[in-house]
Parts: sequence; C-alpha cells; structure tokens
Amino acid sequence: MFTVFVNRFFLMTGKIYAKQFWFLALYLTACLAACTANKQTAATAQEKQPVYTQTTLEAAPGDSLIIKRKKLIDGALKQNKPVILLTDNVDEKQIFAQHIALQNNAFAQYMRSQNNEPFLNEIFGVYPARQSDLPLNTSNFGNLYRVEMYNFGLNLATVAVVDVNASGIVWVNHFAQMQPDIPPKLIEIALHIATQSTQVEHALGFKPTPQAALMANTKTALNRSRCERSQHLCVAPTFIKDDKALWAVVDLTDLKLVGVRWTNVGNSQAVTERRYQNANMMECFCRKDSLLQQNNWKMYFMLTSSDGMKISSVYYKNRLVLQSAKLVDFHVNYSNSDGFGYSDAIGCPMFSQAAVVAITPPEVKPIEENGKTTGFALEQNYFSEGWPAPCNYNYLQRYEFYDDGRFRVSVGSLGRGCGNDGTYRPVTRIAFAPNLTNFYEWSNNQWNPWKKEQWQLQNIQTSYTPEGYQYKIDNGNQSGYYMVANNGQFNDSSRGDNAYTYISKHHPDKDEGDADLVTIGPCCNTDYRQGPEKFIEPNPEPLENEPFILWYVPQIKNDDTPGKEYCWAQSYLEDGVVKVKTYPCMSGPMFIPFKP
Amino acid sequence: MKILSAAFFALLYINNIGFAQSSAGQTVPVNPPDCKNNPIFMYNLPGINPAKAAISTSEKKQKGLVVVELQTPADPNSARGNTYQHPSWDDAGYLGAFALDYDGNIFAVPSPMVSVLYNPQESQNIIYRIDTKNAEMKPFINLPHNAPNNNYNVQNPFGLIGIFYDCDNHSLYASSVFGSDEQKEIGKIVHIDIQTKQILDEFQNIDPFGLAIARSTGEKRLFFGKARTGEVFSLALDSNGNFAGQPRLEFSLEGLGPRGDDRVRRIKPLANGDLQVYGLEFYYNLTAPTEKPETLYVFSYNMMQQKWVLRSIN
Repeated sequence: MFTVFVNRFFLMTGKIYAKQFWFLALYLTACLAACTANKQTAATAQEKQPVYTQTTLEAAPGDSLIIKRKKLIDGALKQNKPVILLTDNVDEKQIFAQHIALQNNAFAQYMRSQNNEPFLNEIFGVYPARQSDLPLNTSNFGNLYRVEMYNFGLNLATVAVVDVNASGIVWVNHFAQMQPDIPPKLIEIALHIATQSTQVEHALGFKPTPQAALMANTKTALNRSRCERSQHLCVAPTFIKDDKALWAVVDLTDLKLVGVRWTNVGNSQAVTERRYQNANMMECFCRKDSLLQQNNWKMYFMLTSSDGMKISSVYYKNRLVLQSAKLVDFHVNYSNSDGFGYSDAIGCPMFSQAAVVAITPPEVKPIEENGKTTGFALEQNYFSEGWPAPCNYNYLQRYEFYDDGRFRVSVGSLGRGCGNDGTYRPVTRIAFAPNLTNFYEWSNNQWNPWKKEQWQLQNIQTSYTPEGYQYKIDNGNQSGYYMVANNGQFNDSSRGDNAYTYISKHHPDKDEGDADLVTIGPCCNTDYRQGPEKFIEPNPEPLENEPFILWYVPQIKNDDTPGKEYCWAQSYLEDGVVKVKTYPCMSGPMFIPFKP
Repeated sequence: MKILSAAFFALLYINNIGFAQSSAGQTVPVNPPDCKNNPIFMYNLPGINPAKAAISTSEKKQKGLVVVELQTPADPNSARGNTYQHPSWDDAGYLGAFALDYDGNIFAVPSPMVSVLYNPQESQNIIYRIDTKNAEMKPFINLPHNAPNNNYNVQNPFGLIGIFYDCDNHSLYASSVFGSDEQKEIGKIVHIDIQTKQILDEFQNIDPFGLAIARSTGEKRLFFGKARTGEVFSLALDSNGNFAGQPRLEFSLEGLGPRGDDRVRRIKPLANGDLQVYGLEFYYNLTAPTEKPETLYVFSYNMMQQKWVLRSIN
C-alpha cells in the first residue's frame, strides 16, 4: 500500500517513475544519516548495543528466483481457479487431493472477490490426515489428506480434509487472519530475500548463507512472525551472532524485507512487523532530534508525542529562517452529523497522545520543477491500522525546501475517514526567526501591517498582489518572505485552502506551544475557533516589532465522487493482493524570500 | 470508528458463586461472591425499560456514562433505543472501566478517547462515584501518583485504567499507569476502603491493566494484566484484602490470538473458576481504529498440574 501511495505522489508532483531507484537511494541515505548523526553526537551505553538498522521495506532482489516467483503468480492469476499448486516433493495422491479440494465450492469460496477478481491463493501443504482432524469414531483414515491453502489477498487460511479414494470432501473450514505452515519453496524465497539483503549483511557484519539461518536449538530456519499492520504473510529468518539473534522479518506477500532487529537469544517475544516498526520509530525518531543538511538548508527534525514531525532551527545559507514548525491538531468534522468528528493528534507510535501514528520512517524526496531538481521535501506519514477502511485515517506532513530559498509547510489527508461529508482542518504552528517581527496583509493595493494579534479567513474577497502574495513577513529592514496562499497552483492536485491565518505574539518567557501541545481545539467548530485563537483572545496584544507565531488552518472538504475523489482512499486488487489507491488533498502556503 | 481503547461496556447481570476441587481436595469457592447490584436509579429513568437497560461508557457520540436501551439485551452491540444521561455523567470527559458495588453505586475511571481535550491528565487518577439513588456523579477519590514533581507527562495520557469491586471487604481495587513513560514504570495497584475512602494498601512501580479477584488456584488472589506485556500476574491477599508477597506470573497472552501482542484489558472470573480475559492492543497512545479488535481468551487452572490451560480464543 505504501508503494501505491508513493507512486501516486510522484504523479501528483509531475515526477517520473524512472527516478524511483534514485529516490530510494536518497531516502535510505537520509534515514541512515538521521540515526548515524545522532550516534555520533550522543553515543550512549545503550547505543553501543546492537540496535535496529534504519531502512525498511527493502525490495526483494530482482534475480531469477524472484522473477520465477512473480511469473508463477502471474500464471496462477490467469487461471479460472487462481491458485498455485503444491508440486514439489508430493506424490500422486497428494496431487489428487489438491484437485479434489479445488473442485469443491466451499473450498474455493473465497478464491475470487465479489467482483470476480482473483485473489492470489496457494496450496501450502498436503498432509496425511491426523486423528485430530477427524471425528472420534473414524477408524480408517489412510486415504484421507489434509489440504491447507492460503489466500494472500484476504490473509485467510482454508483447510479441507479430502478422501482420495472416494474423491470427496470430508470437511472444509476457513480461518480468517490465519496462515498455514509455509511450503519449502517459500522458505527458500524467505531465506533468499533475507540473505541477499544489505540490511542483514550490514547488521551482521558479513553476508550470511541460507544455512546460517538455521537455528540450532529449534532445527528450523524460520521464526514465526506476523505482519499485523499490512495483514501480509511474514516469516523471520533468524541469524545467531554471539548471544544475540538477528530477526529478519520478510514479507512474502510483497516479497520484501520489512526490517531487521536484534534480540537476546532465548527472548520469547517474537519480532513482528508492528514491534519492529514501533521500536524503529521510537529509537530513531521519537527519542532524539535528527540532523538534515541538504543543499543550502540545514535543520533538525523529530517526531513528537502529539504535534507530528517538528522541524527546528531551520537555516537557509546559514541564516535562521524558522525556529520551528509542526502540526498541532488535525480536526475532522462531519457535516451530516451535528457535532460529530475527531480532534486527532499525530505523532509517535507508542507512549504518545497520538491518535494516528507514524509507523514508517520519514522520507527525503527531490522536488522537480520543469524537469529540473529544484529542492527537496521531508515527508512523514501517519496511519490508522484499519486504513483505508471507513473511519480510519492517513495523514501526510510534507515540508518543501527549494534551492532558491522558498519553502512550503504542507499537510494533507489521504482519507478515508467516517464519511463523504468530512471537512479537515489541520492546525499548523510556524515560529519564524526572532528577527522577523513584522506581518503585513495585502489590501487596498498596499502592504498594511498587523498592529495587534488577530486572525483572518482566506476567501473570495481576499486580495493578492499580482504575483499572488497574500501576506508579507519582514525584519523591518526590507528582508523577509512573501506568503503565497494555496489556491491550487502548486501542482499537487490541491483545490485550495480557504484557510484561517492567525498571528500571535511569541512569548519567550512562557510556553504557548514551543513544547508539545495538547489538543487545543475541538473537532467540530466550523468557524475561526480552531484553537489558535486561545493565544489571541480576549485581549489581543500589540504585534509590531515583536517575534510572532503564524498559525495556519486550511479547510478541506473531502469528496468520494467517482473521478473527483479528494482526501480519499480506495482498496483494489493488484496481482491478487489488496492495494490502496489514494487521493490526497494537500494544503499549505508557500513562502518566497525577498532580498535573502 | 474511534472506539475508546480502554472502554468497558457492561450489561447488568448477577453472577453466581461457583465451586471447584482444589489440589488438596477441599472445596473452595472459585469466585468471590458476586454481590453487586443494579443502581436503584436504573428503575426510574425516563423512557428507559429497565429490562433492556445497560450501562455504557463507549457510546460513539456521547462522552461519559450513558444508560442505553438495547434492542437485544444480551448483545452489547445491538441497536440502541432510548438513552439517558444524567447532566453530571459527562463532567469527567470520557470514561473507561467501571464497577458496581453492593448498594448499586457505580465507580468509574476516566479514559481519554482519541484526544485529551476532555480528559486533562491531572484528572486521570480520579475515581468517580455515581450514586445509586440520585444518579449524581461526583469525584470519589483522587489517587496519589508517582509522577516526579507532579509533572505533566506528554508521553502518557492515561491514569486509571482498571477497577474491581471486592464483595468480601466492600473495597475497591484500581490500577493506574499515571506518570509512567517509555523508560519509567511507576504505576500502581491501589486497595481502597469504600466506606472511609482510605487507601488501605498500594503495590507500586508496576503498570497494571485489567484486574479481578478470583480463587481459581485455591486461594483468594488478585489477578492483573500488565499494560506493557501480555502477562497476567497475581498477588496473594491477606484477610483484609491487602497485598501479601510479590506478584506471581500466572500466564501470558504473548503470541496468542490474531495479533499475538494483546494486553489484558479486563479479567472476568467465571463461576467454574475459569478466567475470561479480554485482550486488545495497548501502546500508551490514543489510537482507536475501527472496531478495535478485542479477543476473548478463556483460561482454566489445572489443579493437578498447577498450571493454566488456554481453553478457547474468540
């Protein structure tokens, strides 16, 4: 599902798929740099222990084994019964048992979707039936076989006991969210993905062989693992080094490495997708700042408990631009239900006030304009586990930094929410450099300073300069930024913001949001009362020549109309497994420097 | 759909007392006598049929405690008819677990839902009492906590997360994780005398979750799940219901169920000595995905082998 989202974004921003490898390399570098930088500056005793590597969802090697597997899948999906049969080391009776099972309607019940699209199915095992598979009074069961099939699309196990002599079915059962023991050829693929992984090699310090994954105590190469979030089939080849065990969690649905993690040998807690992701995010991005230095920009970033990804000490060409920027709240209300909605905080996956959490690392992506790379974007995604099912959410923070000094603080929803009558109102807080002390609006064909704290709604009567500037921020010495309202001109499919802009005085002597803010506003106010007004009312303070905070609250209505989807997401089947198509609604103003 | 992560939905019913053979051969009650009674006010609520009434703290569009009329009384998910909410029942924001006492008073603990907007952290260690007669909800006791310097802890929005009424001693047991964070486990189990509002005993520096008293192993013990792992421990209790000794590991949900990483939200002792254990994810955050999956595990204690056996997962 994440691949789909990324691709969608490429389309939105006019980039091309051929750049994916370059993106991946850059992204991995950024992730590694984030954690490496911290280790260099804050080497603690804890960090001397083996810790998690920083990449995730490493693509499977594009070699003959993976290509063969993909061809097998393609072939199976073209069949009337979309299933990969068990063919290795099986006798005639076992082959016959599979055919008997597949002829049975109950066994084949979930092989296709309601729209008759194929799910990917595979027979994982055919075993002589055991006494426990049968009614107590069954005496002669030598002709009975237990057939186990896995449905990759539904994460469903189907089990049947068949009678090869009578060519019939004894019973069939379906088990949701269960996975039979995997067959030898999938073990081989899992070991192959793990041993070819650069993450595994990097963590171990050597390139392991498949034989190295054999665990002496269990005589098995694989630990059972789970991919609870993606609902995929996962296993964990495990490598022992000294008194530590390296778990390599492999996703056999997407043929990818999810990640690797060290545990102590004998630790009874399995390493699963969720545990790996949570631990990785906490370790690398929730406990400490990371340095990001690229082109002419330098900044720190960190995941907060409830304010999303916070960037701080943002410099352009060694000049401080922002003290910080972050996403305080995500208000969602539904117009068809009075007062119904949510005030979501976003942030770390554990020990946080976040209702929608970060589970995958931030990404650094190049920005291209007119075929040239003109900057980079720092993105962080937040995710409800049931997304894109109704009433689950997916949010995106995207900070854009351009080589010429422009920057944009952008936020979006990727659906799907509780209905098609939703309005999203994300609350962004931007603390400018302390020397930027004047704020102006364009009205009556001139720049007019705001002399007191106040707010303003962007609407059809809003005035803009001929260049499209709505506000100006300066240092009193003809140097500063123009603020360009989002009217859908930023090539990200946005339909405009209709935003509230608030300016409040930045008090260095009291915390009005420099630290993590608790939820500052309710879900369902439909006017300016989104929370920032609390720092303005009831007595607005004088503003001129004072450092200030800019609060920005766009109002984005979702849409599920076919062909016009916005802030929306939809599941579909691709290669027999469930993928997600997203329709992001991005928001946020651009800041353009003058006399930088 | 945002379902309160620690929310507790209860139908009103009376459990029976059960008995089992202990390993020593004597007959001991496996369950404390369940003496709780329905609130008196439940029989006089406008528009509510008491035979179909249930108490809920997990209604999607109403904060706090609500009495709902269920179309099918045995099914807490069935369609709602009329509802009733006393004006004081949303004063504490969203509520989570609750317990009934002998007189029909309700003791409820707060539990933030999705955000802390209506559940400020400083109020998350207050037990509220809803009077059996006049239905008014008031703070019953604000439990002391171990958060250093009374500091607000942005990492953990929770305080109280479990409560149980002990019929033997007319007292409450409550579990709290107030002030705990990723590094520090400073929660506690508290034993409270209802009559005097005095804290009789505390077991400190542990993050407990669902809790209940049971005699499944032949003696009266307080069973509790941990908020950080799937383990269930028990503490021996003396004749006054205070804690005796150190926690004993009983069993674990680790690797069990569809998620394999559940925490014990609630423990319900059954008449035959079995424990019904309600497990769900809990990571000290406010995520609340659609129909947050909860799994019901049933464990039996094998007296001969002196170990717990998982009987079913649903």
